[in-house]
Amino acid sequence: MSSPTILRRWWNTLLGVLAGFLGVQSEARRERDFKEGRALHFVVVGVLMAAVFVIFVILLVRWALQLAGA
Amino acid sequence: MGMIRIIPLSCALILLSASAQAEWTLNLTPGVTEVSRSVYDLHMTIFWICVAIGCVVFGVMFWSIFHHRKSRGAKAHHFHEHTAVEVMWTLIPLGILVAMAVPATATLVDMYDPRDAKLDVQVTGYQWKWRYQYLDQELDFFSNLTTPREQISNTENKGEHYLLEVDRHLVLPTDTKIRFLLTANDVIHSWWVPALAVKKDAIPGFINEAWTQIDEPGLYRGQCAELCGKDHGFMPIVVEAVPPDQFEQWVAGMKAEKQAQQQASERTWTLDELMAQGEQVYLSSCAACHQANGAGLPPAFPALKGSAIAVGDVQAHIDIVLHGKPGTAMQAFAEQLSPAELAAVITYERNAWGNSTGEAVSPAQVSRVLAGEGAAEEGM
Repeated sequence: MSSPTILRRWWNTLLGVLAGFLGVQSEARRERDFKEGRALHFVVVGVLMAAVFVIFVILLVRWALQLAGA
Repeated sequence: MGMIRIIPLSCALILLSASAQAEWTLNLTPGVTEVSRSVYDLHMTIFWICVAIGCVVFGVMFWSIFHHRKSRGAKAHHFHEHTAVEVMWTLIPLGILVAMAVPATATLVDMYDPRDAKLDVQVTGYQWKWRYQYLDQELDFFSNLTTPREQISNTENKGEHYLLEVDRHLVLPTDTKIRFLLTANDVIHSWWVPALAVKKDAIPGFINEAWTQIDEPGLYRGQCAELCGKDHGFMPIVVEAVPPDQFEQWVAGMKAEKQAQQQASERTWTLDELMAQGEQVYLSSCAACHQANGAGLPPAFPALKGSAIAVGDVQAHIDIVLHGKPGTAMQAFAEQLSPAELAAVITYERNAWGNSTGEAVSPAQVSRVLAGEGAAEEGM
């Protein structure tokens, strides 16, 4: 079994974090994440994605208020 | 056979008695403002979405239970996960929630936009009454419950608007955007009028904003919606919406009344006049705590009958009625009542229930204390 490239590894981490946001993950992917992933990578991507989510909500509220003319 | 005939008859009787309670309804009122109608529409939309979801979910569930029953030889299929189904039952509710959030946000943004109001009314919650101040018109009055004590204590039949009637209505013009500034004097209250879809906390030290624009003239009743103490259920709200020209007339009438009150406090009153007026004031402003018979509800609300203050030094009596007693439930009434009303109620308290001081407190005496001329000159 060849070890995945660095890019591939980060991509899988991101998918794992997004699955965590949604709350749904298949057993096969969960096992892969635990085998190949690094805890620190998940923490970093998790914090980043949380920040992205907060910014998304802020922008959404601004956009809604702008639509309402406030 | 007889029993079988009785059952439909009694069902019909139950239905009849239900329809007799014409006012009784389970649903939200559509109200009389644009905002209240959009709140109602929103409520109904979300209600029907919930009904549809309920039908689908329970339909599938009951169908599955029936179709795969054991007597037909159904065998449970054991599996651990099904990612596609799990993603679907996460994403579909998310989509429904977002779809509901769109009209809900539009309504909320509208409710929170008091700009361009033509009339400002400050609403202040007191234990247990509301005070209304029309900021531009310089009108200021309290609105007290008028339901007779006999109805509350069940010695009389309850009236049509039991606990929903007040001495002074909050009169508002129709077709005019009105801004409410809500606050409270003692504890947290909440000003709630369902027909206007306004329900806003009135918090001491804070000013909350709300607004309304009433389409139809009429009487709209509401209540305090935040538990605020003993008489929380006894401080109703009555909004009287009238056409704008009638509102102007009302403002003029209120100003004339204010002037008449001013004159009343300047003329001389007889003891009998003070007693008659005092009894009325006592029943609307004092009896909730000190009770109609002056016996109070010790220890929180002391008796006035035979009390050291009510039969003792008149200045101390005037002082406590005007300024209240910090740390107790005794409020300051200086702002709530006119000098004539204050003089009358103090006189009443000093001469009712066997408190026979025979003293008449004059409105002028009260006015002097209010003007800060002090107790020193006045003496006994």
